Amino acid sequence: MKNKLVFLADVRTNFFSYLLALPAILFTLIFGYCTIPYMIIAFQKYNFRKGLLGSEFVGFKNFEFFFKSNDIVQVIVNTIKLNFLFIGFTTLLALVISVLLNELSQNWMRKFFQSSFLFPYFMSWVVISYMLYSLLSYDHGLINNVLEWAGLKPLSFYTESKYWTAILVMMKMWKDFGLNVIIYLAVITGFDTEIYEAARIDGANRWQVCTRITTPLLMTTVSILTIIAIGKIFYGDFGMIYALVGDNGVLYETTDVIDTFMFRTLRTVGNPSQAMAVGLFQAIMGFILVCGTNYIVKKRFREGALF
Amino acid sequence: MSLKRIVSANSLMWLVIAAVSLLCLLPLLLILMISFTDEAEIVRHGYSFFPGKLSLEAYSLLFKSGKQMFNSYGITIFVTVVGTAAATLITGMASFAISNPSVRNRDKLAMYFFIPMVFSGGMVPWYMINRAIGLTDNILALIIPTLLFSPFNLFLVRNYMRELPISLIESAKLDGANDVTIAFKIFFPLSMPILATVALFYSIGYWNDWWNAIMLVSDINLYPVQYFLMKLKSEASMLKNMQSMAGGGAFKPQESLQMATAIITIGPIILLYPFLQRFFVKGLVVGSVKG
Amino acid sequence: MKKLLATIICCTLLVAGLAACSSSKDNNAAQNGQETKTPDTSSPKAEEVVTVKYVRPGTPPDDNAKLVQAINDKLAADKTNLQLEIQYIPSDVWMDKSTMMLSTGEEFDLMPVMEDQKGVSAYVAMDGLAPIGKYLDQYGSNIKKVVPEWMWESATMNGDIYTIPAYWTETANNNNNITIRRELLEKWGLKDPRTTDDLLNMAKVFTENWEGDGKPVVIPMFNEPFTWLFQTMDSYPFSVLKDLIYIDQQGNVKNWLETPEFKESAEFFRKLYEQGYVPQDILAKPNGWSWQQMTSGSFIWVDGMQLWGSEASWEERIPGVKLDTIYLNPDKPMFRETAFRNSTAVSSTSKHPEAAVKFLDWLYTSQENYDLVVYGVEGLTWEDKGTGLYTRPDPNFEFNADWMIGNLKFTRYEVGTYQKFIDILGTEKTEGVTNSVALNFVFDSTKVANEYANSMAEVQRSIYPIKLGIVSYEEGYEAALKKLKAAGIDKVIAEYQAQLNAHLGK
Repeated sequence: MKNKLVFLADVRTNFFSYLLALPAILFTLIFGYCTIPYMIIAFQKYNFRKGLLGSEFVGFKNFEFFFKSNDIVQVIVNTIKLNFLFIGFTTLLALVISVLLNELSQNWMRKFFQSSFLFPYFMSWVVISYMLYSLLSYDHGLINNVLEWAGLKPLSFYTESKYWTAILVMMKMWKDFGLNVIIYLAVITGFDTEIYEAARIDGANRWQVCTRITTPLLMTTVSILTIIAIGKIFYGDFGMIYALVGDNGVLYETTDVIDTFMFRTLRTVGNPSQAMAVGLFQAIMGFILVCGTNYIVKKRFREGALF
Repeated sequence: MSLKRIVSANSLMWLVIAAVSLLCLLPLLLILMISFTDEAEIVRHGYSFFPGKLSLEAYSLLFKSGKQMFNSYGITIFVTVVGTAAATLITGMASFAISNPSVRNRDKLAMYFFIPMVFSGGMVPWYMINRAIGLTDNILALIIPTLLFSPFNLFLVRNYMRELPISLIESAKLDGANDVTIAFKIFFPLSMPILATVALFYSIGYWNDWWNAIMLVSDINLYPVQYFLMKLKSEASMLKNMQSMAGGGAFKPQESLQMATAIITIGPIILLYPFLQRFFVKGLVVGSVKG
Repeated sequence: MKKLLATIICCTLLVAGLAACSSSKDNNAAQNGQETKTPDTSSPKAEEVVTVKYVRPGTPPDDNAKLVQAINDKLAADKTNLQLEIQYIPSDVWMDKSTMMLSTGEEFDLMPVMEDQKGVSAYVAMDGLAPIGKYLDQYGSNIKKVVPEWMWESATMNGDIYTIPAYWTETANNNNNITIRRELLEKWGLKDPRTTDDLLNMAKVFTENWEGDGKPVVIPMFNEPFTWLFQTMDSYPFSVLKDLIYIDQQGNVKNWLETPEFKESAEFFRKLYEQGYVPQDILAKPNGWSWQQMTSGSFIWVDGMQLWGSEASWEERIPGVKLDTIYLNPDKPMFRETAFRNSTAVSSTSKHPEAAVKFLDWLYTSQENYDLVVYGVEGLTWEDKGTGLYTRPDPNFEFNADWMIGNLKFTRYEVGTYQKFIDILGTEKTEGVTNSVALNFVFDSTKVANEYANSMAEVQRSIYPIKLGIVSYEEGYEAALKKLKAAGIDKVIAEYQAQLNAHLGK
């Protein structure tokens, strides 16, 4: 009761702020929270006719195909490992590029390069898979052509899973870094110029400015983006991995993630309840991790916390 | 510090940037070339930056539906402009609310917005809700569902706004302004870079969207460009056997068609970003307040 | 000032809300309007016209409105009290959207079911289809005329019929063959291959004598079992399902991986792979590669009957080509493994399933009706070239494809189609055919659902590499077997055997 009163008081004090937030709050309520109750189908026997309210309750049965499967450990490890590497390397590349770009003069060349970084983001993974194939294929791939010309043995990328963690990370980096660069550059624009002036007066060189000023100032943004990404760390990038790896079972050891595994297993005999069961698992795990990470970050680095 | 060292540090940076840029440009160039390559050539000789035989067949197939395509561009542009404006506005307003230090529940609100990023009931309830509130077969169905607000963008703007000095709010309040005035007259102009970024993200979302159209709309006059592009791409993608590809003439454009679709999709957005770059300029109000 | 702003914001929200409400009112009005026009026909005085809604994957062809109107005109002229409405869903999202429509109870009547995606039994287990046995008895006399008696058993689940098979192709010996370039065999003096050694020799000759750049390869359609290869084995005929389950003609069910036949097949492919006749990256080839490779002409053979398209278009792709489809052992009897792969079913959300059945019955009543639904309007989208033949002014045109809703009795072939194609797919075979003992057996996987799903997922992971020779049998067998057993294959096989025994009356 007291909390409610405190809450209402806050609304009254900051009426206009709450009003400003109202459209977003409504939107999230309708399109976000109103869909969450449907997750209950994870515990039901799926039946088109009986629907949400009429279907039989089956407890954790829908979770069995996943948790009793042979490959669950590998699949979960791959998901987390790949996502972790994706976040890390994409952030790193985007940071480096934005910091560098910031040091360069604002001419047409810089604008051109900046725009070009966005191109990979717009290519669909399917199109990229064709490109990648023409690069890595054993018979006529570009890389193997170069190797042969140099007198070296060709590499069979598509039959050896060991290369693929690196390949996937590089592809993800290439595709997503542009978007992050835009974000970082926008944030950098908002930095207080006084610090920079003071630094140059003190005789700091380019390197020091980049590492001691720009980068630390960007850490709040990096932190927030990372925490958000951690919320999704149990969700494999299905679109990407299915387009690039497809049905090539030889590569599953290092590339199979929860979402591709689920897709394959449920493709012909599965039902939506089983899919929801796994989805629920992914959501809960992600949420726990976010709360945990947020808590830790909050203690040491208040501005970088999400909530 | 000698001039030589400054020059080489600068050149090195340009070199790195240029190299990365090349990695981003080359694939796009290849896609462009493939889209203009004759399909028989692709079958016989694969991809090349310098194809033996060029052809406009992929593009002519894409633009075959002439009048409908024209109409759909109108729809897409309208939806993108209106949607982006509305979405940026909604996001900006909400971001202000949760970066306003006097709002005690701002962190709880942040969590409120965050949770649906992780938990979601999926397509089915989404569809049911849209049907229930009448967002089917009208233009709003292309604007409102999913795309009108993204909590990710919300956090981006909040992050930016939190860096703005609190003194701005305090002094404005002393002058008798309420939150709405502060938001629109002070924070928004100062947050132009991040708002422009978020506007770019929203417009990309609207431009590329075909999901809303396919799921919620059956009136062909309301279909956006992406629907027509998807239609051509997905025609045979369901079947992995030869039967589906065998129909038609000797060399029906398949890969060149896919690449042409990609080019048409990317084209307009690429033009948007340089245009928006002029917003990436610091707000000038800051200096005056401090002084 | 603040009052003004507040008012503006409130007004915006109000307007938006009203806009949404009014469109929903419009929607309801439209729906109501439609409902008064086409009421439920469960009332005895069925004078009212019922619209049958057919939802299918694909995109509307040009002139779609005209084509559907022509169908509806004929439906009206035949005094059927039926009208047809077709809703197209792009193939990419077919599964998602059809599932969504079923989940949300959205009303529609007919939909195609494809056994290689989600089969009839999967839908029935989720209550997605309506039982239509009694409607078929009442209104389906023409359907029963064109769909053979023995096919209905496979469409029966839980004692009722749930779908109407598309008998568009003869399934006996339709795909256990390979397609070759006969002119090259003749050129190099090769006889039709009969054994795996013949095939290896053929590959060798092709590769050594190949002119032009690039080299020819074998194009395996590995998403299906290599039924063409099984013909060379002594124990043939036997049935292999999804590269997981082996059923011999005595009704024994075994784990395919553990059979000697699998070993033989795997060893053969290992030789092909090692010699480079099967491309190194076969599992990674992009979608459409098999077609591309075939049209380029650089192949030794292609699995299955691939004589799609006209002879003229093949001549354009590969000048001088003589495509032919052959069997590795023509002496063995023709073998029928499956009853049907595609069918049209009535959705469980349909409000008038009997109307849906009536429509399909009308479809199979006459050649004229069939032509309207499958080929379109004569003179506009196709030209009649005599019984069973037609041409298309637009070679890319397709309306309601044969394979979805077609029937042998009415199918037309495009002028220029290979005669072999018509012989193999389009000719009903009534003599000299051995049916698989499991032909009409439908497996109910409920009791072993998890094991079944996990085993099938394991096929792609562990069996395909051995099947294609990427991993040799010696190297891969133990690991694959271990994985399959861990997935629960033994339970699946046991359950399968038990159900099959019951079906066969043992």
